[in-house]
Amino acid sequence: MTRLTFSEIDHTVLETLRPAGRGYWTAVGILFAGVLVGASCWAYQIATGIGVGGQNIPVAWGTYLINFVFWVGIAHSGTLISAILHLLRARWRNPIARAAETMTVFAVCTAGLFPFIHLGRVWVVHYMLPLPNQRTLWPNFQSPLMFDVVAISTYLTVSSLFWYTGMLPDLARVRDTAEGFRKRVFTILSLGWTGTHEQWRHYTRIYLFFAALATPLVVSVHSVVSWDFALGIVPGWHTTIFAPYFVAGAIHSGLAMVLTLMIPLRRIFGYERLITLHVLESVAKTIILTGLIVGFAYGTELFVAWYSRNIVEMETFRWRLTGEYAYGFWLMVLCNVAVPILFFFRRIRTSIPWLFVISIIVNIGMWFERFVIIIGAVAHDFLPHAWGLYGPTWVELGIMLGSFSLFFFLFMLFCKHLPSVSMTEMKETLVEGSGDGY
Amino acid sequence: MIILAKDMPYRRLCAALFAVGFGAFLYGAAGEQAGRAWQAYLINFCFWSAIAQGALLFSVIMTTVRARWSRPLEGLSEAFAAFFPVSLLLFLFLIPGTSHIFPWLHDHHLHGKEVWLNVPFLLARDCVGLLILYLLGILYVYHALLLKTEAGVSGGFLRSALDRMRETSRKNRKQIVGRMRAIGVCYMAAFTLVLSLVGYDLIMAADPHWVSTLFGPYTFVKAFYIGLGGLIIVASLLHLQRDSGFRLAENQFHDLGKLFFAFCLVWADFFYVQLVVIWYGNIPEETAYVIRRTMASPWKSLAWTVLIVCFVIPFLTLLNKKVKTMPRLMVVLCSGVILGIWLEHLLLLGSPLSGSSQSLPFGISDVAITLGFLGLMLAAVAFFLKEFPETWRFGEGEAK
Repeated sequence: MTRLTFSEIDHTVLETLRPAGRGYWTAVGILFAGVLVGASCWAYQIATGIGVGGQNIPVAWGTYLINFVFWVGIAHSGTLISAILHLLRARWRNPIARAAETMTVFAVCTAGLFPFIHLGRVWVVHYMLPLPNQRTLWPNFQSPLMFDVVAISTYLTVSSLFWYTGMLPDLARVRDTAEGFRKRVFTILSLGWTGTHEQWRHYTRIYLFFAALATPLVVSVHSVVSWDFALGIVPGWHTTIFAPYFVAGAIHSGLAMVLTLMIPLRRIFGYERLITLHVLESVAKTIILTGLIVGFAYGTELFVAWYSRNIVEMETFRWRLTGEYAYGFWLMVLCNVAVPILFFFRRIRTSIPWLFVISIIVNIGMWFERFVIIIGAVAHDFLPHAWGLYGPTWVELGIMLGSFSLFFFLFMLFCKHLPSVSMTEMKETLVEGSGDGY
Repeated sequence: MIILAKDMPYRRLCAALFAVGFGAFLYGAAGEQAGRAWQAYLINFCFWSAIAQGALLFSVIMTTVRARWSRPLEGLSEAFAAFFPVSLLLFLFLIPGTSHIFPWLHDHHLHGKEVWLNVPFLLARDCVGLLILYLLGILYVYHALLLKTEAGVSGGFLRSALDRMRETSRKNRKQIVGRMRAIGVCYMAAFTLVLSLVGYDLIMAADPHWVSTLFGPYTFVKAFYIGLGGLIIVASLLHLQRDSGFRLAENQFHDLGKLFFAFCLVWADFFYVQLVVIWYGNIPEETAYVIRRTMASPWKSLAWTVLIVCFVIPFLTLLNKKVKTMPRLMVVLCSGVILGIWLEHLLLLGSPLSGSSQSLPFGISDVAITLGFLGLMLAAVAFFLKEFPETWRFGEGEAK
């Protein structure tokens, strides 16, 4: 295979920004319809009341919280790929870093909607902020939900800045070839980037600083999300392993989503020479690691519940394995741990159909993991008298459909309007000459 | 390592250290304070074994992820595996002291925990676990030696044995590296499982009514943290010894320092995330463990010392790039951290093993026993480095 050149990289990426065809806009239209379904359901809920959801006593947190955790989790691998792997100098991340970071930003935006939706009376959301007011209402800073507000908003800010800063040289490259209105837009977006030595020096420094800042942030954010549960004393929630277990699980689901997005993107945009099989294989190998970590966490929770001889803990986990929601537990074990082990076989992790199918399976499994944790624990806690079950209503399912549609809708728009592969980092890979397969 | 490079009688030094430790242990174990001697033995067993297990993990990870910058360090990392057989023997020597090191034997209210907490089962499972871990580690090092050493070089019995095995093994370099990666993955899995098991059984279970799901992962993260510390100390000392034939580039020290810094953060994170869940939950059966160690005398000052030495100082110091590239300073810093983690073992185990002691159960006999273990570790590592000198010169000048 001939070696990639700078011009080939530019040409391949800029080609994706040409006006889209009917198929693309049809897909965007369908996704937008999905967004409208979600928005309508939310509007119905606002007009009618939060009771239109399936939440009840004792299961007060339903799919809204599941989806919140799911989307925050999806966000995490973007930062893993763009920041942590950057610090570790894993060059294979270069071709997918841009799309992964974009995924982070959109996933955090989607996740951020769910606390609003779950609030019910969304118009009083500003009570979550420490704003002086006549009624001297003040947020309870000891509440993990307040930790969430701080953590998620910080994460969104840093991820967005990291994403945008990393894109500056590419935006300027698009500006240089664009014409008319697009040129004006990209001129503004590229913030006067001319590629001088001084600009590159600042750029590489700030990119490194953002990576170094985003790395502890990504750990702290999902630790905080885990504490929404672990800080309560509910059996099945109150356990010290939750923070690292949630972080690993988040990256697990995010990496799977990277494959789900990258495989069609690679095919549609003809990125085969940029996003090589080696890159996808490396993601698959990382999925093996994260899958084993979550598997370890599942096992540890079960073992310690048994070892503790605490009857409530033991009952919680017995029920988790055999109760009404046992299908969720076994599904999550199968999808998150057993199936990714198939990636140990080179033949499977280098097969595009297998990669794609397994990535979707992991996504399903990770959604059910949150279901098992969030629903299962409170449905069956201390007192048999207080046990209860939960099922989502059509309103919740509509909002869930809307969230998935919103995420893919935003990603589709991004793909055709901004460079979805970082031309700059691809060229860096070529210059350093250390990337396998280039 | 300085003594190794100058070919001075390091054996005598190691033997002297061991003799001091062994003597102190025997004296203590035979006297009225037998519990204290066994406490020091258990702490040192866990501590020094963790250094060896964690240090080898460095080479394993680097091989698995195909890192190139770390090649000169991998031989040093593999040298720590020489402590594995010693560690296994030391584990077996715990058997006579079970009544001292397992306080739950004297607890008649285990509420069914006897199924897991009974001496034969505990010793058997931990012994099997350690055996598997060490066999994997030694198998990995065997393949590394096949790769890095030449046949026909005169040496001790290990080298002769290696040469004999080399003759029967007809693998090419690619096959050996492939085998190393496969064994490396198994070692990593065994490392997490076995160290978790040992952490739960030998340390957490000393307070049999307290549980923390993260305690196992905390144990293996801690092991890698101090393993890296040990590796940095050996690498720095050899680097500083001009005629040792071992040199690291500045950027390699920088990378090693960054890794150490990262695991300083991970260790602190794993410590903190346990603490915050327990503090916030505020359940007496969980908080008692923490209160005893962080708010009550004589342990609270030790808890603060551990936090400052193992996290605050290295964190603040290693933020600076220059520090990471200064071998002398890194030796001091890593020694401090390693000492801090020793104290952390005392913090975790001292309270249940020494009962309601009014002062810290730490004295000259503990120091002497620790020196004995240090002697064993030095002897094992120096033996390996001397037997296979080309392993730590392998890759010299590469990955600048």
